[in-house]
Amino acid sequence: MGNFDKKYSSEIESVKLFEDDFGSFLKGQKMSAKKVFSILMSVSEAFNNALVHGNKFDCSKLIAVNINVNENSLTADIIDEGIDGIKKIKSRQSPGMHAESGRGINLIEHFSSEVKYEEERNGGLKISITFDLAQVPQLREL
Amino acid sequence: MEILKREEGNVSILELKGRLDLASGGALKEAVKNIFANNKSSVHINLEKVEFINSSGLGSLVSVMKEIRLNKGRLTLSDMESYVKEIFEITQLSHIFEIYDSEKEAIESFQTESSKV
Repeated sequence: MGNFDKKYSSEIESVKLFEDDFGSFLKGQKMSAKKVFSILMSVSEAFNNALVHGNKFDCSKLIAVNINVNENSLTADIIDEGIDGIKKIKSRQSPGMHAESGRGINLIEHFSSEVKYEEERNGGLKISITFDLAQVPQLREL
Repeated sequence: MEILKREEGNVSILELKGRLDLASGGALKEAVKNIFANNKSSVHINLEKVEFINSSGLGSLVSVMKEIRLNKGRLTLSDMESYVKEIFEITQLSHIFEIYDSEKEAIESFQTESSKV
């Protein structure tokens, strides 16, 4: 239980930094390794989305990660400072079989209980992911 | 991510070790380009030591598969950990890649194919 609130610069090195920070936070939550991996993977996909499609690697923009966990659920808000993210999400179509991108959202939705997309006042995108901790789909034999 | 390259007959084998993600996808694409530079286009990727893969990593595999097919080559994958296999199933990529349980089976499939010609 607890909170995790951090901001990261929009550079590729931040992905590993975020995953290490968030992984350490999750390991302190008394969850199984499988559950930790499913949550970490899903939230990391949202972080990648913010970095690549939201802030487009613009180092002057930040990615905010706000996470709250209680006995029953974990909620993760990933907020970028991009432009028109909400429009892109709403007009998104399922990636074609041979598409090289677009599968991150599918993975987020697969592993979470609920995903909400909201536009921030500055035009950035907030992806809010909720995991019902009793029902997180777990990857096999991790 | 570490990429080890080996040859077995006409097949170039890439053994990936570590994370296949946004940061490492470029290295995989570069490794496949180097194979083309040696006039080869039969490629096998062994994923046994991949400890993490996400949508960016999947995207880089799709990209190299397309490049290999453009070069009239063939790509096989093998030795996926069960969770990697599951991610391929969730994203339905298991339908477009040739996936074998073991590297040996994959390499044999290249030999079987060439003996038919």
